[in-house]
Amino acid sequence: MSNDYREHLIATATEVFEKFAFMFVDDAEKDIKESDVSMSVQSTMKFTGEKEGAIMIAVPDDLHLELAANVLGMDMGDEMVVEQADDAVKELLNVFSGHMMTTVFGEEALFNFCTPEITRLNAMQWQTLKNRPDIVEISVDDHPVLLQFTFK
Amino acid sequence: MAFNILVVDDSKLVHSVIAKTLEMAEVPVKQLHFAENGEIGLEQLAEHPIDLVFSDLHMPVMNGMEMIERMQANEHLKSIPIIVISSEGSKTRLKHLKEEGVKAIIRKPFTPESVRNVVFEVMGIKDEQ
Repeated sequence: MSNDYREHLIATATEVFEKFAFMFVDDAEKDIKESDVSMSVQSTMKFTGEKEGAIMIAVPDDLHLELAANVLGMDMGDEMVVEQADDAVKELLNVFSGHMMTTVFGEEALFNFCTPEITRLNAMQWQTLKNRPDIVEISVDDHPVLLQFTFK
Repeated sequence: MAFNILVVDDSKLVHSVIAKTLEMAEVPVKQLHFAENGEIGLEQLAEHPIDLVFSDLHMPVMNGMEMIERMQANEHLKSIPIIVISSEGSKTRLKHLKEEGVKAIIRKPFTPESVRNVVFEVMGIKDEQ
């Protein structure tokens, strides 16, 4: 991935996490710690239009619930938070994708988005994903988050 | 005056967020109705007297664009103001939505203030805050 897209991914994720979920991206270069992620949630959304591709975000289970709690303004243990946690990740990806497309391709470009899909990852799957060369890792409120943006 | 509002979005989380945002924005709401896609949205419009529609664009079964087109083709529904809430920022899309009769577009993520301003403008309410 070129440095331009990497910078766009980090800048857009920073803005969207802050405005959508009231969460903060730490200094991506220096603050990512090696951490054990046991279970995590991956959401992917494909797009078509002037370019075809996909945007992906993966978050550890604990951030998954924290994200939903923040968006809903509720406690993490609330039943609605648990029920809507997957929706929160999908909606985050939806907002993130909309902003990435205008950042990268400009305001005239038109795209159609598919419904985001959710996949559960175990520790090994997280590690495999993280080691891919096109993955960008950021730290959100001290939790690792993986981002991927691919198109042709 | 309070409004009957229909929210059309495939995410239950977005339903909850819009309900909470309207409350925080002090938009006068009489009744809130929810639909998971455009098809259910049209059913709700046939069943309830709706004053204002909030709609997403990308939904399964029937997307927001098709629902909007069907509303515009229906004598009873075309006068109901529609506000699209979407993460999209494409000017091409926004121009097309305006041509289809959409009154306003709110880009996600939104704030209670931005929702209040748009609703008051679309519904012709004088904001005294």
